[in-house]
Amino acid sequence: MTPLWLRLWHWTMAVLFTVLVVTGVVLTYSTSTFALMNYALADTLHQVLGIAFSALFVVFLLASGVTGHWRRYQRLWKGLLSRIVKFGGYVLYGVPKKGNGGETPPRIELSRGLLILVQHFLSIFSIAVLSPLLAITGLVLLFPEYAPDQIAGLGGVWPFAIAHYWVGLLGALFLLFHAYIATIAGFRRMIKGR
Amino acid sequence: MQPLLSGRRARNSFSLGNLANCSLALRSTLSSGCVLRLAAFALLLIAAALMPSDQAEAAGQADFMKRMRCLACHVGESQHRLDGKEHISKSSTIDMPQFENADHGKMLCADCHSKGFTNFPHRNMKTETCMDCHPRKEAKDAEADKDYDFERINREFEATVHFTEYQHAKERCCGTAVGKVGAEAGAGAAANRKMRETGANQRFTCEHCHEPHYFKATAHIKDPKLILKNDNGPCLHCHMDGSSVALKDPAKPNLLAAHAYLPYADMHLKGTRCIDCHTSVTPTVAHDLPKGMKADQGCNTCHSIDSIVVRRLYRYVDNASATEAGFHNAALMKDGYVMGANRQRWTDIAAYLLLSMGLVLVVAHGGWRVFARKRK
Repeated sequence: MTPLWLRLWHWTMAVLFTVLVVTGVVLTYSTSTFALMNYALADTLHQVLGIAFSALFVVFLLASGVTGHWRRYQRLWKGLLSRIVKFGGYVLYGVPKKGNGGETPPRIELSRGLLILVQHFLSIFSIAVLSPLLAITGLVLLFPEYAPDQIAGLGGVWPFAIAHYWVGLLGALFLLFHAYIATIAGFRRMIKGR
Repeated sequence: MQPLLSGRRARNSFSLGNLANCSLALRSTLSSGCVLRLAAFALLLIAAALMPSDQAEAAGQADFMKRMRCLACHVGESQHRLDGKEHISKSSTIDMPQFENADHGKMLCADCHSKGFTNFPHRNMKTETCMDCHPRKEAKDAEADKDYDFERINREFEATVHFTEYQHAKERCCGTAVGKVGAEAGAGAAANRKMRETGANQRFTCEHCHEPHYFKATAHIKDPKLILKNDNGPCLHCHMDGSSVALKDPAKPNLLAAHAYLPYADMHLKGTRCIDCHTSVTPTVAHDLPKGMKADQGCNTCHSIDSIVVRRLYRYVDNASATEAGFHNAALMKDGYVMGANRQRWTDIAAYLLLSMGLVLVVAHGGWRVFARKRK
């Protein structure tokens, strides 16, 4: 059973992050004569929603600690490496047959196993790496006056801007795969809770 | 009106500033007065006579002497004070080193102060305006003026609020010398009342912003940081915080409040010129001043890979739009980071590749699912 607070948090973050990706594209890839949407609005949205995203991430950490939800990630993490090795072996050496003269597992079972593995990996990666890095680099960009004046002879904001861009890019890829896999695994659990 | 500048340029091969400073020293030593000024002038004549005298230098000396007739009184700290109660003054002296470094620094005083200034006290004076000489007619000078299109500039300027709404004296707003507010107190107000009254009917003119004695075109400055300081100076002279002139909007008591709609307003105010937003984006120098929020050119005008900052403030930096270490418009990054303008080439390529591959994977897998379902 997926608790209500988690489902609400998940969908709020999904909407926030989608808007953040779109506004991030506008902020980075506009030309002097064309912008996908009003640039000033994109900037305001990106800042306000970025703060909300970071705050909700902290809320998630606190709520996970209080409710014990963090144990789910502990379980996912424990089996993750061995499953990556297992499925990596399938890709490199083929799927072994079960027992002497046995049959290979059905293709659908393998596909499902692989997709679940990818989904679990993405869950951990987004919570442990992407979200905190996005929040930290975004925070520096929100207060550029506190960034060093110069880094490597250039204006000191650039390493944070590049890092924010890269993490955002990986986040956009996460969103793409996560949403696609959800079309296979189904959205029911994240809507109804079971 | 015929151009007055042609053929009148001084060709001084020695430092006028040094001798002018001698004049200043003399004047500070002696008390002011006509006799003493004449004595100082005589000393300068002797000094000039000791200078080398080949033909070119002799011509330079002749121009120098013409200048010195004016500079004997009009150089250094202001000696021309108005009524202290009104807290206004008209500077009648100029800073020689700054003048010599300016675009008009080689000109003779009489090139512009063309009538009534020969004798003292001056009577029925006439000073040429900028448009009396510009655009210049001589081939070489005309080429230099080509980019400016003075007729258009004049049309644009006469449509601005500066011209249409502020019919005020130079003294009331900016003092005569922009950036050089004169002494605050002094005698002689009555003698200058008539001049002030005449001034009160004056319109805003080119020289309010382009102080002719110290003006230097951005093309001759080149360094963006110096251009920034130079070009914002005249605007801030009247529009600065705490300004008591009518230009201040009571609802927005300072520059930061007036620009509060901008993200990072203080950084924008420090890093860009007022005119970068407050004039239209045109290939040549624009002099229109759209009012209020109409001045907003749109953020992406600057925050884009084809940023106009490169074509305006960084116009005279060699290869300002060049890509270095993968960063586009790398010249901007030496002074800061401009989002959208300083994109990173390799990051862009990686983004296109990764997202393309991701989309291909999703579309291919989705297609396979649809295909497999149909086969069943």
